[in-house]
Amino acid sequence: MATNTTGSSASRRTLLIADDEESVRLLVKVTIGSDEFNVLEATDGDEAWSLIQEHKPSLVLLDVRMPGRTGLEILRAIRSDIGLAGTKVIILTASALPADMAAGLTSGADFYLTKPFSPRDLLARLDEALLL
Amino acid sequence: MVTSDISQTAEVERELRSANLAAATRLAQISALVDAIGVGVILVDRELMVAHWNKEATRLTGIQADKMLGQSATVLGQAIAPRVEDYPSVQAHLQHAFDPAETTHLPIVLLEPRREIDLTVSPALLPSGAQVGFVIVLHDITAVTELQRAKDELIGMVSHELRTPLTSIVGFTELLIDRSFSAAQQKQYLGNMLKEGRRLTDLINDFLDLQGLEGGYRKLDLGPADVRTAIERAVATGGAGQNTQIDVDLPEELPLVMADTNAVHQVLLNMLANARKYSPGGGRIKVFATVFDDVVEVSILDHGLGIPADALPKLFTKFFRVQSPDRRQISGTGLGLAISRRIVEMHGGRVGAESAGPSLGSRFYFTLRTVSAEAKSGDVLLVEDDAGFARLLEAELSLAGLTSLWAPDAETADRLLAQMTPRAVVLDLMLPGASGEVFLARLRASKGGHVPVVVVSVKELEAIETLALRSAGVVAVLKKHSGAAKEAARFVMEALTKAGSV
Repeated sequence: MATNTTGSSASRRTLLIADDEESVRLLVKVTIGSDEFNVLEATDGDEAWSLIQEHKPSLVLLDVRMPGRTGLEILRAIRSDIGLAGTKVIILTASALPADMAAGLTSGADFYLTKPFSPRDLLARLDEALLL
Repeated sequence: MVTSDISQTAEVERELRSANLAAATRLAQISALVDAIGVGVILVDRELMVAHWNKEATRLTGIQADKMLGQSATVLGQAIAPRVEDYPSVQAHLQHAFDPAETTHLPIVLLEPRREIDLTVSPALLPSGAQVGFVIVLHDITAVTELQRAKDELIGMVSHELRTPLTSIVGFTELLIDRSFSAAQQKQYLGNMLKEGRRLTDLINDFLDLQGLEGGYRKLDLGPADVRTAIERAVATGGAGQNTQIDVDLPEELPLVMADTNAVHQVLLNMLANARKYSPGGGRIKVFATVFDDVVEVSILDHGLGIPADALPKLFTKFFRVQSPDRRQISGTGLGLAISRRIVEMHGGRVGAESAGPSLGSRFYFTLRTVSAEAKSGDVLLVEDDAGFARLLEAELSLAGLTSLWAPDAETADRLLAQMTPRAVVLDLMLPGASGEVFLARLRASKGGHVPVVVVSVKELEAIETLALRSAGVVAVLKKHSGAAKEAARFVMEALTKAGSV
């Protein structure tokens, strides 16, 4: 389900939201709000991975527990793919056990946000990640 | 004094023999005790030779006692090495374990079958403080750690399931406070919050329900029940949707089953709701029942999405949901079938599901035991849908020496009346199927024409209604309150005395 918010323009950066919950994807989309991004959506891990390979987004917002590939599997795949070296990853997950968080950060996520998250925090992390 | 010497020797021998016997008895007792305590116990003496090896030690290690008794700790180590996971590190730890001053704990894993063991080595001391060896205790903690793991996993899942709907509620609230949106956008976001709030409520309700069943806080009120009434009631309340039709196809002769009608109603509603939810394209749903020996099997058949073979065994597990693109839009807590399974199993029945595969529909079924012949008798028939009040009535009547038979609805009562003749009836008016008044009319027209009836109801009765009941031969009309059960029992006794049948 690749949806462009407005007509695509080469200059805009591409951002992928991968989450199986429709309501969460909507929340992230509304939070980002501006049309400075070309927003793609994936509803499961396999779709997310094929969109990442095809569009090489600047930033991926990644849920962990998804049908198909899990978020952590995708994260590892991104980090071991030289062609995706510049891809920033923010993990958005409802699995908030300490072990899950450690797994997320050691797999190379730039940021790790726990659901429920504050849209303000998400925007701050997003800006930070894109400046890195 | 030779004779006295001889008798003294004999005396000493007798004492020795009895002391030996006492010691042997004591040893046998202690040995039996050590075998019975449910942990593996190995005793080694000061020279580290194996002096005792109990039954649990044999069960856990697979090594017989006679192979080990009298052997050195080195031989023991060699015998046990292939059965211990990562033996070198266990051995390294054990070298420091034989310390006469303190007790050492070591977690080890025994293999084939895999068991987690808490191994303890403590010095064996005489009351004087002299050390006579070491006691090695093997405590099998597999079940405990598995339970702990299952609990952790459940907490992880519950936390995940609670956080997901909260994400939309908290997130959209913050956005609505921080920013300005059009009226249409506001409505969309608030709609989302409402949907997710409801999902959270369902989740908490289902979860508490399941905990109540598993923790034994919720008990069943079992009594004879009519399957047809239960199914028709469920289909009427939770049945057809906009584009689904439900066909009920039941055999003429369905025996009464032993059931808690409210709990069975919940199972039927859950299975009907699933059949509808997972038939997004609509399609007919069929409810049917089959009688096998002493069980009735109720089936709910749909022509919906079907179930992949690998998911079938997991369907009734907590939080399990089949993942496929065509199910993304279908919401659920993942607890409904776990609740249903629990309820059916508490009835002594079985649940199951089968499907020829994706998009080929599915059949969910559960069984209930039929009511045995002896369970279909009693002095007083209680026709009452409130199980709590029925239990009160039963208790009051039994104080008066009368047995009762409980029917949760008029249809079940009719079925029971075909097989037994009560001496009195206590009747509620507001019942799930046919009303108490309808039941009374049928009763009067049948062979039970003269049986005394006491009415107990919460319904506010008009004078004319009371009169109608009176003229139908009701001996008393009582308002349902805390003392009503006692009063009803008194009226039943009075009527039976008048009729000369007590």
